[in-house]
Amino acid sequence: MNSTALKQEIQQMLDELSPEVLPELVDFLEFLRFKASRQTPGRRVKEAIRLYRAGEISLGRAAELAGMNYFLFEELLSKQSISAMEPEVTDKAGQAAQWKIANEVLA
Amino acid sequence: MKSSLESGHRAVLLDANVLSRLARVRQADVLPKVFPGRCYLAPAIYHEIEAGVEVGAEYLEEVIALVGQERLRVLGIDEEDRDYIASLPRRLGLGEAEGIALCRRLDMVFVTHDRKAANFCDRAGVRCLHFRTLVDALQKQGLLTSKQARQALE
Repeated sequence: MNSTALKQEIQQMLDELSPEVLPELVDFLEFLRFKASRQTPGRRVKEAIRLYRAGEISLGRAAELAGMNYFLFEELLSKQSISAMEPEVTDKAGQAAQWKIANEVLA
Repeated sequence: MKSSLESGHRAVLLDANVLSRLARVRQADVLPKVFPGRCYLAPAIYHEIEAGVEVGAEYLEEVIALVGQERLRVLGIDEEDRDYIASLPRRLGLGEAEGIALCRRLDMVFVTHDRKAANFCDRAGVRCLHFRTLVDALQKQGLLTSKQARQALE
C-alpha cells in the first residue's frame, strides 16, 4: 500500500470514530510521536526520567518510553539517586484507609 | 479463578516494584507466606521479570523460583481486561495496566510502590495497598527486620 492509500484508509477510520475516543487517540498519537522521534537512546532515557519525576507517567511507562527493561530502568534511577515516586498519603483518613486494607489482606 | 470475594479471602496482585524491592533484600518469599495461595502477578510483569533475569537482574531469580513452585501465580488476561486496558490512559505501563485490570475484574488488591498507579487505582475504584504500608505491617509482624524494611524502601 502506498502512502496516499494509507492516509486515505486512516482518514476513513478516523471519520468512523466516535468523538468520545478522540482524547485517548490524541494521547496515543503523542506516544507514537515520541517513539518515532529522532531522539538518541540517551535522550529518550532522559526524557522518560523527566516525565517520571514530574509525576506525568508511572515507572512502568517510563521504562517503556526509555526502551529499557523495567528492572534495569529501576536500577538506573537508583544509581542516579533518583527517589521512587511512591504513593502519597497526606492525611490521617488516608493512613487509616491504608491500614484497613493491610489488615484485610494480612488477616 | 474465582474473585476474591467468592473465595472468601482477598487476593493480592503484586506490582513489579514490590517484587524487585523485596527480591533485592532476598525477602521475596515473605509474600507467599503472608498471602498463602492468594498472591498473583500480571502476565506482562512476569515476562518483564524473565527478561530482567536475562539481562542481568539475577536477584529476580528468586521470584522465578516462587512462580515455579506455584507459590506465586501468574494470571491470564481475558477480553474484558483487554478492552479495559485499551481504555486506560497511556500514562501507565502495560504491567501496571494489566494488574489494575485484573484487580478490577477479580476484586483483588493491587500492591504497588508507584504513585501514578496508586492514584489511578483510587480513581478507578480499585483497592490499592501501598508498599510502604505493607512493609510497615511486615516489620510489625516480625517478618522483616528494620534493616530489611529500610533497604526495601530505599
